[in-house]
Amino acid sequence: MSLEYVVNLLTTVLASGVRLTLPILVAALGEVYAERSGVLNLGIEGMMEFGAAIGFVTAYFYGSEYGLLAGALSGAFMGLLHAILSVRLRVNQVISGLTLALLGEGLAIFTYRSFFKPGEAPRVRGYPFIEIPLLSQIPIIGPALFDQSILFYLTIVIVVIASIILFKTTIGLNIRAVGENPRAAEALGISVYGTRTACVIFGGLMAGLAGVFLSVGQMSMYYEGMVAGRGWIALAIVIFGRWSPHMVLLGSFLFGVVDAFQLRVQAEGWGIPHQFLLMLPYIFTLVVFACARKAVQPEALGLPYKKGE
Amino acid sequence: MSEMSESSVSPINFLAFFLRKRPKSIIILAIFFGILATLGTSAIFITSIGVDPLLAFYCLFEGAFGSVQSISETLVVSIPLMIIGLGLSVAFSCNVWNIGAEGQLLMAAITCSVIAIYFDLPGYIMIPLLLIIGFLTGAGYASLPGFLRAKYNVNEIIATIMLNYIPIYLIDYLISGPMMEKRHLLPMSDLIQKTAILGRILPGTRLHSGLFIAIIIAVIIYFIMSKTTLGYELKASGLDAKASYYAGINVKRNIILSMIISGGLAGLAGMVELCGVQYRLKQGISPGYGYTAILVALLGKCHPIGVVLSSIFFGGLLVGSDFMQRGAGVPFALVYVIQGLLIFYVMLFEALLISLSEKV
Amino acid sequence: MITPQLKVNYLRLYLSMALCKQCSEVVSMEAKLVASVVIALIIGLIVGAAVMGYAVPKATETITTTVTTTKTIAATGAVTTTVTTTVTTTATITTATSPPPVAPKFKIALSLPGSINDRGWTQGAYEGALKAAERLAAMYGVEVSKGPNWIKVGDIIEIAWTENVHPAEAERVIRDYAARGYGLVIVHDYPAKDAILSAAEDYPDIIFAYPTGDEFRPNVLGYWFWAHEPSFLAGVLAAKLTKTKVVGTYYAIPIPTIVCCVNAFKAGVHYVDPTIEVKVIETGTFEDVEKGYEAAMALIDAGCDVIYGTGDGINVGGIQAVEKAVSEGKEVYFIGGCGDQTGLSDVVVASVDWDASGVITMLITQYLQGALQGGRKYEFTMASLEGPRLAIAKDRVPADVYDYVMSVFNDILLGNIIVERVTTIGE
Repeated sequence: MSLEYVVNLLTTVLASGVRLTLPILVAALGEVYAERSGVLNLGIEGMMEFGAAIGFVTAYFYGSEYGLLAGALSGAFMGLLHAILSVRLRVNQVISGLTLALLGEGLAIFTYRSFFKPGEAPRVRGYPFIEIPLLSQIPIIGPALFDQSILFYLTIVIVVIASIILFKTTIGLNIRAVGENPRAAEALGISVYGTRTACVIFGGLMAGLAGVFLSVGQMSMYYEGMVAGRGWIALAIVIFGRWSPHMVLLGSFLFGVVDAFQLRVQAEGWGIPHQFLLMLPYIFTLVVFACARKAVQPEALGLPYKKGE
Repeated sequence: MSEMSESSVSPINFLAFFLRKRPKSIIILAIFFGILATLGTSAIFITSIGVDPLLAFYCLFEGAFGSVQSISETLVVSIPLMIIGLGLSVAFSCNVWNIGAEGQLLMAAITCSVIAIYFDLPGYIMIPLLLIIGFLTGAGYASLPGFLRAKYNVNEIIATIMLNYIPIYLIDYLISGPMMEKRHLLPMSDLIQKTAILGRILPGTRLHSGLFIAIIIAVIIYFIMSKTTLGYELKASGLDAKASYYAGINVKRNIILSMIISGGLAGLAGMVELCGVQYRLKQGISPGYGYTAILVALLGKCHPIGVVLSSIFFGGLLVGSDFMQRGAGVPFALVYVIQGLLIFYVMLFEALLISLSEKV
Repeated sequence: MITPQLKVNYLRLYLSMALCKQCSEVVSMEAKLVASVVIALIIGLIVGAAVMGYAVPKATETITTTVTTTKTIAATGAVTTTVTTTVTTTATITTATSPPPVAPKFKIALSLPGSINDRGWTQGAYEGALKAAERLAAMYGVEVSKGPNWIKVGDIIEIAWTENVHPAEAERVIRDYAARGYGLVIVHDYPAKDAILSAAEDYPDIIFAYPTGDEFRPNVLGYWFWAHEPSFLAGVLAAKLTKTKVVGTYYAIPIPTIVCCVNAFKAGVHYVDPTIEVKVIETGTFEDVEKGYEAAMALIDAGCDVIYGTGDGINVGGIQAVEKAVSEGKEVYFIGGCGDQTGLSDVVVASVDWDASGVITMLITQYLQGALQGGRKYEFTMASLEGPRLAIAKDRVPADVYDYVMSVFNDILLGNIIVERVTTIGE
């Protein structure tokens, strides 16, 4: 194994990993805010699928920029439904989330088929790629980090902003307070309902955005079932990332890179049965997670809150 | 009681009063209104594609409960949902969120299939043995995340989600490799021995004796949860771990125990599906029963009777809405929408009715 | 939601009510009366709705049958008259649904494992049904009408399908179709084998068909389409096109028909040049388009410059990966699978077209002609009329390569080259 071979392996695996990471990361970021405010959103998968379909259809008829907007808004709408049910009406968050996941998937396919007949293979224009001239030449990490779609850079910016807001601003403090001890937060004058509703809508918005990133951004098309479980991975990544945006970035990146790595190992044909390699990302994530054990789950996560209790 | 002096009986106040007195009626009313609202909303979708909504709803009900065939199909779906749901209700009451029932089910299907295919044992040994193996496999597979949660406070949601994927790929590996059928033609295992089959109890239908297993388990779980100290301690640990700890209850043990029970029951469901429905190890043993059972358990308020009823409700919903596709020409995407809408509206109305009942 | 706290409260209420029976009785006497009236009303509503459901007349259908025939008489030396019947097939969604008041004489059902939009396996079956319907419409001179999950030819033939049938649900779907009187039930998914054999016993008058089957009954037949020969050709083509001497292929799940394609591809590559490396990836999923993209990328990064994709959604992703590589200046080619995917993109130089549609069309038309026999298998190989073939986009490959591939094609047909069917992964 020559050095050049290893460098090429690492470079391409990292680049592929970053691409695989993106939708999971975006969805997980939104979920971080939702869960930090104390609300579990198990509907990410359906919201992503819904955003992917709506975003694609809009992009097809009105252009890719509007597709992005439409995807985000459709996700926000589902987030609103989740907020009404679980925050306002104190429905069990697990049921509410799972139901919306189901609804989202059904509506996604229904919408897509209302516009496109079976057998058509519509495509849309994706988003531009940006290559940063000097930095992308850095060996190994250059192409992965500096020669990517504009969506990637956008996401990094969102991660930074999300992290700053959550940990360095009053808004973030309020959100975290609501997630830890809503009663105390209410007593201090923070509107628990309002904060939670806003965070859940944001979570849904990001899920829808993640869907559009996947369909229009990365694949320039919509395929039924294309989310293929990323929503559930995002949920796990949020926990893995200890509910903080930068750790979530690391966690989803880890998962994406290991996934890309196992595909490459299969391609290289080193003799390991394919199915064991397919399991690798899940086992790896679990092992890493179990080893670093500090748990800082928001205290009030999953518990409904009643105003004035 | 203060209500004795209540003189003005406006309808809303009466409803609130009635709901307070009879809280179990809330869910029944919620289901009723939920069904109405779902019919109304989905009628819009259905007519938009040119299908007759009344025909569609007729098919929905007919498919769920309208004939012997329908009822048996509903029960066939309800059986695994019931078994897993009962287990999950134990776990959820203990505030342990076992999202890994699907993986535990599949793992048990694997181990049971090894015995069921390759060992020729008489029926009275085979079935109990398989039941035990199914339970132990599921319990064992669930004990890992349980242990991680109890000892190290590792979140069980992420652990169980990740562990769900392993048996899927393991099955793929086994059925295209070591366990492939004798003819080496298709990636599936051989058929299980005749003695391992859970026979069909209603001729002409698919209803199998797993139904009895499910009912027995329901009785056992009901007994454990309401009549034993263990049940009480599990529920207490779930309600308030700190208080229970100070009251002398071993919360850590209860966490592991509830994972073991729910995992074991999920494994039992895997065995029942293998021996009662599928008869061999192949792709697609479970169409997501482990995940649907989460909804079943929660809708059933984590109480054994509620879980039994809600599993039948879900069975009817899944079978009936599938029936709608063929009977009325409703596309499958709408079927998902209708299922989601129904649960959505039931939850909505239940929440509204509860907040109404709390209106003093 | 009912929190545990609330539960305890209700429990206390119940206990006090149970203990204080007299109190509760006095208090809620009128309440009980009103309550029972309300409950009776509710029950009455439910019963009424059920009765209404039964009594509702089935909506009537409005299908217009139009016949448009154009006779063209062509005389070329010997006088030949050709009569062409052109039928405009419009997707008219009728106001009512199945079943119509006039029950179609022939009903065919399809149980499909995936979505008809999957650009592969299931879509092939759907297109087969569509093609069959259009041909039959032309034959009978009637119109085709389409619904969300059915196609009707006039009011004579109905083809219905159910998508996303999970193997655990297959038996229910099959039995339902059988009970509704569908004469031919095609289950386009091999894990449903047990379900079919079980249902076939209870419905001896109905014909069941499933792919890669070789357990039969008098009314159960299997259809096979062996794509190993076109895959061999694909390997030959790949070997001729590759400059890096490394080619790759990827698949979703090792089902036998796909595995033999992968093995035949390898054999074809090594037939031309035994030194060429063939890399293989398993993605574990059919629909994850992005995974397909990354798998193809991994193959490209590992040095492949010809990629053969064997599955539905992942092929779409793979095509995009090749497009990306081409846009970066690399010379990479894609060979599609499971359908004629040459139309999807310019980088697809050829496609192993399983032509599931051809098989399904044949099954349906044979059934309608009364010629379909149970108890046997129908095999479609490259030599069959509607069998799998390698569709090559002539303008995208060099002429000499094309000619060579065609000569190998002829050799296979003539029997000079025998392509083995190897259904186990041997790496």
